[in-house]
Amino acid sequence: MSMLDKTAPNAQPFFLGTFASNCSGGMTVTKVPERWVSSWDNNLRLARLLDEAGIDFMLPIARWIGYGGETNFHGNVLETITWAAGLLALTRNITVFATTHTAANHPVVVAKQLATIDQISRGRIGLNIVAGWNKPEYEALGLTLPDDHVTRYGYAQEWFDIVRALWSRTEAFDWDGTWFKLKNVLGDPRPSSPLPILNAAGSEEAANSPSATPISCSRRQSTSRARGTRSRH
Amino acid sequence: MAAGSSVDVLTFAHVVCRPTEKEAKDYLEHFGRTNADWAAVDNLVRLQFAHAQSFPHDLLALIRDRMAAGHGGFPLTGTPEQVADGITALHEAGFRGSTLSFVDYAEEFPYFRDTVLPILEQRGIRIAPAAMQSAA
Repeated sequence: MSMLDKTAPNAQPFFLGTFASNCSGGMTVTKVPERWVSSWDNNLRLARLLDEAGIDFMLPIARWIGYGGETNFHGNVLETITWAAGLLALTRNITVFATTHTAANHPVVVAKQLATIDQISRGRIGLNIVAGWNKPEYEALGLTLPDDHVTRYGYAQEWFDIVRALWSRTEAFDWDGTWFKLKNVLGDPRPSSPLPILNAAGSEEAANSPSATPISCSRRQSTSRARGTRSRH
Repeated sequence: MAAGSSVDVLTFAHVVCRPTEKEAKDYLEHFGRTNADWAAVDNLVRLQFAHAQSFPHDLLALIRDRMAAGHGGFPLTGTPEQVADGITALHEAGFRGSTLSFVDYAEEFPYFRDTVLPILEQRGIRIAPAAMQSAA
């Protein structure tokens, strides 16, 4: 059972987790020699410290190219689904999220990857869905980033609707959507309980409030972008 | 927003926690200004704000500083008491939780664990792991 289940009688009043430890530099764009080295050994050491201290979650960033400069900030990045699987196999209570770009990962594959990790972790895997914003990253992957948010989020919504269908439907089904045409597909195994889902808000919100970009967190399997919360600070 | 869904909002924050406020602020100045990787910061700001080019200069300067120090995260800089106050303020603002980052996560987390978490537990914002287990 995920510690992020706020309906549990012993849910934390305020959730705490770490962000970006899978990326070189973490969240700090600095040249100091002690800047974060995002190696597996460091991530496992951190995960065990957090787990023992009762911290609720670890959230990674999915990144495919660095930001340049002297340190190439976020140039060295551990892939988040394999990272989460490894950490969850070696911890006891903490929830670990995988972060997936909807355009770079096929929903049928992701649904099964997470259902597999659900078994490895006994229900402690979470999913962070990213619709994409960074054009050079898309170019690195040979993908086209749609300029308008309606298309970007429409695609991400259909992507997640497929994942959700695979996690809930018990009979094989066909999918005739705008972006995906699937035939005779079935999710088996399915997660034992609903996963915590994160969905970072769009870039306009980030632009308007750099210190408080909202991330919505849902226990039910539906996506929602947090809006109207951007001027808290 | 999907009707009937249960949505919580998390925010993100960057921790510089030291025994004194001066030590915390000095370290922030050291890693986040004097030794910031400004070329990478400018790439980051340029990419993040590619579609929003009408910021006042003072706001852009603030964004640039905060991007260096914690990727734009809410600054939790100071003594354990001050860091706990910042987290309490996020709780009171209505956020359901926050991510945390540190310059060196694994080296700095134990001090946060030993000094900040007990204050949050006293204030009822966090429940100690031992109490969680006995309640489960």
